[in-house]
Amino acid sequence: MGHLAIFIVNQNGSLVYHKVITPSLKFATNDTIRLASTFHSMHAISQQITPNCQDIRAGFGGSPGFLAGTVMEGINEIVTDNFTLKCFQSFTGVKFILVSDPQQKDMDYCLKSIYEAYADHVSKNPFQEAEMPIRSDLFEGSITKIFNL
Amino acid sequence: MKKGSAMNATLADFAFERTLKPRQEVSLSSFSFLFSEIVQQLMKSEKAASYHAHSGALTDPMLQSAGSGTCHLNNDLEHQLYQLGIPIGEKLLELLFYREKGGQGGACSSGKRETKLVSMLHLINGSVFKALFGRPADGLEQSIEDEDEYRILDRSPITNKFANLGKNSQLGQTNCAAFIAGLIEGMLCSAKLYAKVTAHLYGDEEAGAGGDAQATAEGEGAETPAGAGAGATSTTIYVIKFAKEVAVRERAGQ
Repeated sequence: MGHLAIFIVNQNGSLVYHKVITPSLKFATNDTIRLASTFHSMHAISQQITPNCQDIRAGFGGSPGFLAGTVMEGINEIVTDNFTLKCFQSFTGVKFILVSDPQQKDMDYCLKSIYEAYADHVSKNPFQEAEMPIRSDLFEGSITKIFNL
Repeated sequence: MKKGSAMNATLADFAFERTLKPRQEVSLSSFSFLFSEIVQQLMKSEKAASYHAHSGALTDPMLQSAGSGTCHLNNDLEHQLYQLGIPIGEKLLELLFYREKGGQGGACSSGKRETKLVSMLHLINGSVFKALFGRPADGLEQSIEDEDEYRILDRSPITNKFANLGKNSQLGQTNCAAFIAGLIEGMLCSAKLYAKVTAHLYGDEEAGAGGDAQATAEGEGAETPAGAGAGATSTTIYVIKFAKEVAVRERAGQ
């Protein structure tokens, strides 16, 4: 029930942050890195082979915001029987991936909150080195608050 | 000087009132990005300096002039932030006094300024923090062990709001509120109340500071201080230690 995991992948394809929300799910560290790189490559390839993708983002999380009107390229959503994967790519190429149960309705809102937390505690953090894994206590705190862990 | 009379009003009044009181607020994000860039620049120049330094020797001139070899700051970065805040504080005093007390619309057109120690501290605690950060500081207290030492408590300094090191970093704990400490010191010194201000993270306080006045080194802010919510760790205390001659002057004046 609920959200399963979060991955944040940077512009170069390396995993910058991951968190498993459901306690029952277990990932080996290498698995997560491999998953992130694979998804990054597939995302890039899908951008090239999608014929005439003109999907415009209507609004994020239901409400029209500053991201409304941007073209959604690449893989946005993967729907299966066991899980739904949603990916949000920011303007700089950082991908926020959220994996949840299919019944979850608030995935967009959660992605938006994660993006806000990222803008706050990672972009404004002078001790965060570019392209490096995220190691901020404040960021972890906001994430746990979003998912009520 | 009559209020509102165009002939008797000085040019300075117009210049200060119109241009320097436009908007009371600046976006927190803008400040945070700017401050983050400042800190990164300092870190870069510190790395460049350490290439030239050989093992052990204090080649940084600022550290040497801090005196007696026992640097009370955790690292060079804090010291540089602190040095950055001092000139800002000096200029800020003039500006805030003018806005609060002087000028055409001010409460008192003769432009009186605070000279007493305690009233100056109250001014900083209240008006200055309010003008800078939008809310007064959370507490002002006098130290029991030392008459010349006061403390200002700040629950969440804006410099620390987004900038925080992870606990396991090699750089150790850097408190960016050292910038605000420098600011306060600049203000006090500009008002001729010479003092030394340091910023400490609030944690388990070690009682009985011996010898060095700045040795009130509180522990890391990782524990939950009283009243703070889970995860809020950046409660900072600015310890203000006044110089001997200031204290003597205060007592003589009473």
